[in-house]
Amino acid sequence: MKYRDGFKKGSLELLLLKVLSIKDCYGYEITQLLKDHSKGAISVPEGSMYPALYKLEEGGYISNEKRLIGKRRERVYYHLEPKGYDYLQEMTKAYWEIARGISSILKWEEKDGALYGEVSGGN
Amino acid sequence: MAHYTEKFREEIKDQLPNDSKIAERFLADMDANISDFMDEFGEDKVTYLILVKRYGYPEQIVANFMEACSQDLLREQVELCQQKINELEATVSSSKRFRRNTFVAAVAACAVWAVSIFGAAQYYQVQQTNSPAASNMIGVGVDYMPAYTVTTIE
Repeated sequence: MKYRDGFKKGSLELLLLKVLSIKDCYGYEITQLLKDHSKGAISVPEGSMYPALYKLEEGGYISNEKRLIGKRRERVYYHLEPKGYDYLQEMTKAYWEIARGISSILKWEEKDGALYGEVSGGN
Repeated sequence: MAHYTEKFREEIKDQLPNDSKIAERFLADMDANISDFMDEFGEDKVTYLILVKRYGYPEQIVANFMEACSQDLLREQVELCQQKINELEATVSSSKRFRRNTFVAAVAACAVWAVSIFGAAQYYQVQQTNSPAASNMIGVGVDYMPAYTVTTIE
């Protein structure tokens, strides 16, 4: 199932930015939201998620804020910055272009010795 | 932290590189998560296996972390090496400077010492020349030379 991990790894930044575009979240909350919204298909281990968050933060795409929970405990909430929002738009656009391209290729069918698909209009 | 959570945390900590800032930050984030977990389930119910179910085994967590930030860890190591080289260079250069300064100070001290001895000798000579005894001695000349006593032991 290495290819599955490869797909996830390639889109991890995109997914993290998307979740943070909905609302500010703390680490564990992000993993849960990803799991719930993908109906269990995408579970991101903490060991992989945090380094990705640190990189996004280093790039100025997101920022973090410590919030006091209860009397003594602190949670680190991540927040999407305007630069991150622009990056998310670019990545989303690129993702759909590639996804459509892959989808078209995968839908090719062989008819009468020739390949037909959505790309050629199925003639 | 309860016994099991402490064990879980220590196992993660032991396997993370101990001179890495990223690893330190990751451990702090995991600590916060584990605390969250304890608050949610209560310390009595927290066991090692429940933690494993939620986060994976410590080895898995660390392996994922190392894989995800291998480039950053490598960069950190290179930066750390460069920092140590700079520190060593600074130490060597300050040591050279120290030796040079010590040499200069020693030469200066010797010069001051020589000048002061010379000055003292001059002063002493002048004092001797001006003293009445010295005035008497001027005419005495060679006769004033102290006589050596020769003792013959039989």
